[in-house]
Amino acid sequence: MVRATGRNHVDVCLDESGVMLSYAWTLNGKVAQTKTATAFDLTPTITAATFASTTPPVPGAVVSTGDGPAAAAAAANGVAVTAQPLAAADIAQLTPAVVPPAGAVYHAGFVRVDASAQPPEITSSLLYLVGNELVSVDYSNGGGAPPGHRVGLAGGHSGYLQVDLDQTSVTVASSDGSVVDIVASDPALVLAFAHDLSFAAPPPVPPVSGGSGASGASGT
Amino acid sequence: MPPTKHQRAADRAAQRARVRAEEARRADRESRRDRRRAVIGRIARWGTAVIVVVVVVGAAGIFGDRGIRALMRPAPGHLPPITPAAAYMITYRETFPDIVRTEVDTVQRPFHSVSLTLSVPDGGIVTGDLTNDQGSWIYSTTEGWSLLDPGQQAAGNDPQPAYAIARGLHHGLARVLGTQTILGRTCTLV
Repeated sequence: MVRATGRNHVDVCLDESGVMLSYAWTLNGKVAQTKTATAFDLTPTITAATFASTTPPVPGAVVSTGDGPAAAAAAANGVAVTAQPLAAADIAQLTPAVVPPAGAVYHAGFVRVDASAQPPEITSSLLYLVGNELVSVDYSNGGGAPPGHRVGLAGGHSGYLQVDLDQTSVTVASSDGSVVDIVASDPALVLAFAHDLSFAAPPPVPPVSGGSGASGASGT
Repeated sequence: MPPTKHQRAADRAAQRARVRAEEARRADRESRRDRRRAVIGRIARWGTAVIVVVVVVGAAGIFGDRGIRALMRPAPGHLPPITPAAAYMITYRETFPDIVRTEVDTVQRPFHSVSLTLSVPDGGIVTGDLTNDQGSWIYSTTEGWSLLDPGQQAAGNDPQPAYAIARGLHHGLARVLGTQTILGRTCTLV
């Protein structure tokens, strides 16, 4: 987030529910996009079909199960990503470790593999809930300079805070080249997670006979 | 060097923005065409300006000059208490230069959302995004939904700008301009 100017700014009108009722983006002195609410319902009817990919979005619309030509084309273009649940043993190897702040509850963990990258990019994601707020902690092989402003963390470590209108992230780079991104809507939550990260070395990996599974590389 | 997480996120955002970019290109073409019609349209624009003045004066009559001054006065200010919605459905009239669309968003926090952009006036789908327990999906008018990024994740198209704006107000990066009434609800203009 940067200071608005007369030629470049965003005007939003926020409802008491936090939902934007209007949005206007001015770019280089010209209105580039506007959105104005014409209907708003805080108690919508939601069924199992509402978020199903097999439900026609509007009457008569095309329905797909997601494995059609578009998915195949996506795979061919190198955007194929697979996801598997993250095992507790793998979570224990992730460093820096998450020490959830008070009120935060672990929800789920996944390891995603983007096979299009060379070498394949592996991202381990831990999801925490604070009420209805989701905090995602993503470990990846990183690379490049993280965006944002530097913030000091425990033990002399530092992270980079990036605040945008729709989400906030703190990126922490480890000495081994891996990167941790903490992402949520609320900057205070993100910073709370970042400040509580534990940089202690993970416990040694017990020997595993027969090689390691796909999730064994999740600590990158 | 392998792509970074930020690059990968940017790639996905770019993919989702492709349809909107095409809209923008079309808008640009139509904008150039409209400029050729500028002379003819001048009289109509003056007519619009008169209507705007009438609307402002009318608003002053309805809300009182205090309300109008509040709308016009820059001040740092702060947001009123926000009670985040657990779920909502909102329809927007969305405009780009020379293009009007309808956007319909249904959100069930924190994991579920569906957002459809519809053409005006026929209501056909232009693009769509869906997030459910399987992952995030993108809609194609010829092939329906395609899974883009598997695994449970935050609802898409569910911006919660209040947090960032509150921080921006605190650090002098934003300011409260006043209030507006939209759909009978008072909102804080920032």
